[in-house]
Amino acid sequence: MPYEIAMPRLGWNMEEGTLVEWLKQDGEKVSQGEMVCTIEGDKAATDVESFESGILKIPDASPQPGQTVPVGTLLGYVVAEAELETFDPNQVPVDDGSGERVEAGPAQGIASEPVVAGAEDRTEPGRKPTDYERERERSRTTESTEPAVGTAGIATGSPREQDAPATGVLPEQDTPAISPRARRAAQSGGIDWRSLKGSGRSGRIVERDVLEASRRHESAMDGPDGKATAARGGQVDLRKVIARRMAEAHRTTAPVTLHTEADVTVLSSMFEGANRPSWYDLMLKIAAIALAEHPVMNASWRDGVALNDGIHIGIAVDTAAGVIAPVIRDVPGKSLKDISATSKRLIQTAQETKLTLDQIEGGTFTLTNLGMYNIDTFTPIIHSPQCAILGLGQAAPRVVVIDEADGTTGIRRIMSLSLTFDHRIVDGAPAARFLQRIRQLAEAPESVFGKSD
Amino acid sequence: MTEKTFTEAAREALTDAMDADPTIFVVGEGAGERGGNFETTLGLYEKHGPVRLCDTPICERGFIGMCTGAAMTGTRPVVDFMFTDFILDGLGELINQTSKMQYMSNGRLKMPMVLRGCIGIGHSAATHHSGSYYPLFAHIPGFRVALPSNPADAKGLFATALQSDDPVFFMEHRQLLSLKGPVPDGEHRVPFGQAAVVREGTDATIVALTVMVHHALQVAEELSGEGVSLEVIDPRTVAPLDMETILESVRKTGRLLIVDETFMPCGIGAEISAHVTEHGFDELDAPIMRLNGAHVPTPYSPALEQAIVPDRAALARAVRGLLAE
Amino acid sequence: MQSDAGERFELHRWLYRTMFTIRTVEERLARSFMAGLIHGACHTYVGEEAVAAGVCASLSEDDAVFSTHRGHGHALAKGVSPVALIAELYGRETGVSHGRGGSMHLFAPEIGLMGTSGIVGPCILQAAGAGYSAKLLGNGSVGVAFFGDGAVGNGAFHEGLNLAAIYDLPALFVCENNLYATEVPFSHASRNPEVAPRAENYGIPGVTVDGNDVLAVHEAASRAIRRARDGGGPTLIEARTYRTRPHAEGMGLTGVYRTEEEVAAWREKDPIKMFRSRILSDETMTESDLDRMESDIKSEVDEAEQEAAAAPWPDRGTAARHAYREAP
Repeated sequence: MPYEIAMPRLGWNMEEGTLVEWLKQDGEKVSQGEMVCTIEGDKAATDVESFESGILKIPDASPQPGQTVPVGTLLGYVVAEAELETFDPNQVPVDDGSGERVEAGPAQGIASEPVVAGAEDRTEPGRKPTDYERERERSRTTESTEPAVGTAGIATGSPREQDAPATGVLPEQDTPAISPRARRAAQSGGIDWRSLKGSGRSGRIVERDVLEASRRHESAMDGPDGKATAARGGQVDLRKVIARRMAEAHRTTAPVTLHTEADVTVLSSMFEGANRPSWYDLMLKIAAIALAEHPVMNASWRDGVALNDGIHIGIAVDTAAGVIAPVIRDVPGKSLKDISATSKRLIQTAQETKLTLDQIEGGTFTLTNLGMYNIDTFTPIIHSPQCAILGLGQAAPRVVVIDEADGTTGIRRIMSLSLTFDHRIVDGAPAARFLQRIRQLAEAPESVFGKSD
Repeated sequence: MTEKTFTEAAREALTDAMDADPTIFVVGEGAGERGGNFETTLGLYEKHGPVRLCDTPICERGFIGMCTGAAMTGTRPVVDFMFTDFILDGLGELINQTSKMQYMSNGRLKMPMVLRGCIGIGHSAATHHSGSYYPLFAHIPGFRVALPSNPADAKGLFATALQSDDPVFFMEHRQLLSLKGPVPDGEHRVPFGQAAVVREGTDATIVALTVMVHHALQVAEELSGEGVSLEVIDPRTVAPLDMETILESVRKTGRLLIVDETFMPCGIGAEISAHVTEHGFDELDAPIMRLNGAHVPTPYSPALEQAIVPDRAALARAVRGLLAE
Repeated sequence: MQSDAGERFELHRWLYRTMFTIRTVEERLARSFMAGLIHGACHTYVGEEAVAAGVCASLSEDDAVFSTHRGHGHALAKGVSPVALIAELYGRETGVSHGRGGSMHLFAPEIGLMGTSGIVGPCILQAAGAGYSAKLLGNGSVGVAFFGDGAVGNGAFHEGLNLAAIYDLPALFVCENNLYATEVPFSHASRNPEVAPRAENYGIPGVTVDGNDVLAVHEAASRAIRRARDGGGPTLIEARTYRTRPHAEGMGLTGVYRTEEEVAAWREKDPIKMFRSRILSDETMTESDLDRMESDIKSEVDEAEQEAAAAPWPDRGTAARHAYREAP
C-alpha cells in the first residue's frame, strides 16, 4: 500500500496549510525519515518527512507550490519500488475504513461514497479523501442528538424555558409588581391581581395580599355567618370562581334531585300589566313560606347541620361573565312588591357586573330558572354550603286530566320543579314534603298572595 | 448521648475509624506527637505511632501530592492543615490531580482522602488564618465539602468522610471548636447531601452555613417573640448540596435568605439562589436575599474584623428586610 | 532456577522487544498525527526508549508508576498494550483511559500505571505517596516517578524528594534529562548542569547513567528498586538521554533551540541501535532473531493500529460518569 503524504496538522488549531515546495521531485527516490516537502502552517515552515522508503509520486490533482489547501489534502505518495509498476497516482483504490476496498475512479467523484458523504466541500473532484478527511467524517457520523450530560445535572435551564413565549411581556405602566408566588396564587384562586394593592416593598403584591382578597371573596360566597368584609378591589374572574365552587359543591355535597309538576294556571294569570311580577318573584314568596315551615331546608352545612335564622334567597342570574346569584334578604318580611323591586334591581346590577359583596353573600337557599329556554326539568347544583336549590322549568300549556272519574281533560299551565338537596343535611322524605308544599302553594296562590294583591 | 466539644466529637470519629481501618493515616504539621495544633489528633500518636500520625515539613503542596499518590495506591490519608488557608499552596495538586483521578481513570481509581482544616473569621487571626474558601472546592467536580455546625454533626460527617472514596474537605469553623453539645455514642454517621431543618417555621427560610447556623437560631428565637416564624436550614454539606430540602422549605415559606460568613460573589448563596430561581420561581414571594461577609481580605484589628462579618443584628435586619419585601 | 545466560537472554529479549515496540508505536502515532487521527497533542518518546524499558524491567504490576506528558513509553513498558494506547489517542472506547485522557492521561491502575499527567511535577509527589502506602501497608511495592529535566526546577521536585527522604519511602525518581524543557535548554533553566548530585541535598543517593544505554539504566534502576524494597529509602536517577523527534508532533525538529548536527549526533547514539550491537556482540540473540522480532512487532503494531481505528467511540451518554465514586 503506498504511503500517503497529506497536508499535516501542525498545531492544534491548524485547519489549512501552504505547500511551499517539494524537496523531492516526482519519481525521485525517498528514504524513510527523509524530508519530501516544505509546508507552511499557522506559525512557520516545516519540512514533512516520509515514514516509508520508496519513490515519490505526485498526482496531477496535487496542489501546486504556493497553494493553500485544507489539512489532510493529499500531496503525494511514497510507493515501494515493487508496487511502482502497477501504481497510478491518479487512480488509487480508496480505503473507506470498512475493510473493503472501493474503487473510486476520478470521474466518479467521491460524493457518492457514503463514508465520505458531506466531505465534498473539503475535497476537489476526482481526488480521494485522505485518512484525515475520512476520520473527520467518521467522527461526525457518530455524533448523536442525545445530550451527553442531560441527566447529570450539568445542563441548565428548566424545561419551562422552552415553553415560555418567545416575546416577553413588558409591564404596563400601571401594572403593579407581583411576586411569582402571589401571581400563582392569584391564578389558581381566580383573583385579578391587577386591581389589588400590594403590601410588599414598593407596593409589590405578595402572596398575603392575594390570600386576603381570596378570603374576602370566599366569605362572600359563604353562609351568613361567614366572615364577610367589604370588598375593596379584588375583582374576581367569575368563570374561575364558578368553576371552582361548582366543582367543589359537586365533589363535597351529596346531591339528590326531585322533580314534580305544579299547575300554575291560576298563579300565572293572577298578575297582569307592566308591573307584573316575575316567576322568581312569585316563587320567592312561595319558597319563603315553605322554608319557614321546613327550617332544615334553609340550613347550611358547616361540619354539621347549621340552621339559619333568616331566610335569604339567592336568584341565579345569567350574565355575560357567568352565572351569579344575588340575594334577596329576609324574603318573608318583604311584600311581593318589595321583592319584585329588589329582584329587578339586583338582576340589573348583576348584568352590569356591579354587584357588591354584600349583595351576593349570605344566601340560605337559591332559586334558578331555565324556563325561558323551554327547559322542563334539570338537576341544579347546590350553592354549597346551602341545603338546597330549586329549579324552575317552563310554565307551558299542557293537556292534563282534570277529573279522572269522569274523564275530563283540560289545558293547563304546568311548571316543572326540580329540587336538588344535600342528602347530608336532609333525607329524601322531608325534602319531598318540602317540594310537595311548594307545589301546593303554587297551585293555590290565593293563600299566598290574596285574591286582589 | 454524651456532652462533647466539637473537636472531641470529630476526634472520636477519627479515633474509631483509625481503630477499625489500618489504612488510615494522618499527615500534617504537628499532627504527630504534638496531637495537632487544635488537638485534632490528641492521643493518637501514642496509639498508632509515627507512620500513621505523620508530622510533615511545611510543604502543603508536597504532602497533598504525596497523599494523592497514597490514596491512589490503597491507603486513606487524612490531611490536617490546621488552617484552610494553607491548602491554597496545594491547589494545583488538588484541582488538577486529586479531583480528577477517578474520572481520568474511568472510575478505576478511588480517591479516599480527607482534607481537614479550620475556617472562619474571629480571634484576630488576620488574613492568612481566617479563610474559608469552600465555594472554591464546591465548584470543582470530584470534591465533597462538609461544613459541620455542631459536635454531633462533626462526628457524623467526619465518620462519613473517613469512609468516602471521594476526596472530602472537612472544614471546621474556629468559633465552633470548643462548642459543646450532645453527641451520639458509638457509630454515628451523617450522610452527605442531607440538610438539617434545625428549626421549623412558616414565614421565611434562612439557609445558614457553619457558625451562621447559631446566629440564625438565635435570631429566629428573638423574632418569634414578635410573631415571626423562621425556618432555619443547615445544609451540612455544600458538595453535594441538598437543594430539595431547601426548595421544600421555600415551597412553604416563599421567602429565602442565605447567610454565609464568606464572600458573596460566586458563592454558595449564589448557587442556592440560582437553583431556587430555576426550580422554584413560582414559590417565591420575595426576592432571594443573601447576607455575606464583606468581600475583602480579613483585617486584624477586632474593630475591623467584626465589621466584615455578619452578626446577629445584621442577620435580624436582613430577616426584617426580607419579610418587608 | 535459570542459568545466568538464560536470565540474560530473557532480559535482553524483553528489553529489546519493549524498546522496539515503543519505537514502532511512536512512529506509527507520528504518522497518525500527521493524518489527523489523533485529536489532541502527541508527545513521542523516540530516542528515550532505554529509560522506560531499563527501569520497568525491574517492576511488577504492584509497583506504581507515575509519568509525564511524554508517557507513551512508560505506559508500554509497564504493560499497556499497543492497541489500548493507540485507541486512547484515537479517542476510542477501548483506549486505556476509555477516551477520557488521550496522550497525556494514560491510566491502567490494574497494572500499576497510575497515570501520566499534563502537569509537570505532581508525579514526583504521587510516587512518594505510593511509597507511603507501601510503607504503611508493608507490601513491598515501590512508587516510581518519571519526569524530565523540566521538573527539576519545580517545587514538586524539592518537596517530593524531601518527603520521600525523611520518611525513607520506597520510591524511585527517574529524571529523564533530555536537555530541553519543551524548547528551553536545561542550561538556561538551571545554573547547576547536574541533576543527580542534588540528591545529596536530601540525604539520598543520586546516580547519573547514560539514558541511551538500556543495560546501564537497568543496572542502576534495579539496584535502586531493590534498595527501596529493602527499606533503604528513595533514590534519584538521572538518565541522560535525548528525544530525536520534536517536543510534540507538528512542532519543528530543531527550531531555534537545537541544531541538526546535535540531533544527528544523538541519532548515532540511538538506544535501540546501540543495544542491537550489544546483543550481537554478547551473542544473546542473532541478527535473524532480532529481524524476526522486529518484523513481528511491526505486524503487531499495524494490527493494533487497525484495531484501534476500527474501535467504537465512547458512548456520549457516559461523559459525565466517574467524576465521583458514588453518585452525587
